[in-house]
Amino acid sequence: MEAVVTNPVPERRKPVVPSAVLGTLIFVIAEVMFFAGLISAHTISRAGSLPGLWPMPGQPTLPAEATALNTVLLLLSGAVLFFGYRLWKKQSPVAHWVTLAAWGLGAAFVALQGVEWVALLSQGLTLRSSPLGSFFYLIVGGHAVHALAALVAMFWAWMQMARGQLTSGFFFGVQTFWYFVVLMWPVIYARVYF
Amino acid sequence: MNQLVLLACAVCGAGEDRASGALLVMTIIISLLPLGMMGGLIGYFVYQSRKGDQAAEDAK
Repeated sequence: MEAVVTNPVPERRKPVVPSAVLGTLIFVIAEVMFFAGLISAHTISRAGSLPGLWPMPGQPTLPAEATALNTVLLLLSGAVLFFGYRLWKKQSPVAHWVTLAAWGLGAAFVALQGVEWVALLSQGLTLRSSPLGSFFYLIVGGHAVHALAALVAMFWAWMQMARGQLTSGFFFGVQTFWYFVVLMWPVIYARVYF
Repeated sequence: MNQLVLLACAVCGAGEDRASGALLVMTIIISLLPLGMMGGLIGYFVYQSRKGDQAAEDAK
């Protein structure tokens, strides 16, 4: 009788970090550098401006007090999303409503920023009116684009969660992206508005 | 020269100390930030790898 020789198939090693997680982290690192570059350029230009010319005479000052409310809404949105994630992990039936509340707070932030932009444009602060206007619309606009993209992703995650089809990898990606949007904002707010 | 042109120039005071200081500080931040983030990512990989090894060890 012949002996049957079998080659043992090596067990496939589980990846250290899922591809979705790794991809999101690399993306966020690249985005952090994008905003770091813009804020760096803004800081150096502002420091190099002559006294009394930032903002330039005749240009409106940025509404830092009004934007504080938007900032609170955005920070609250991040906290509520984290709470929603904890509930989702525990398979709570209210998790998707909490996630929707986080989305609503984020959408309110973007909407209020839009209102602020309309007011500033009507007061004469445009992309070409002054260096402050250029940096303001570039940095805050860049952040708004990221916030909108993250809101679309969060809404998609919410729909999947409500249907019971949400995967942890996708939710991790959405959360990471939203936390990046939330945590990037206070830095932008502190550097650009004051 | 037209005064408005000078006013519109954001870097007219580029030679001043505060501008040089801002340039130095931002150069340091921009240089160290990617290194810090890459270090954090590598640290996260090591942590996850050790966690996976420990879980595999416990399963045996």
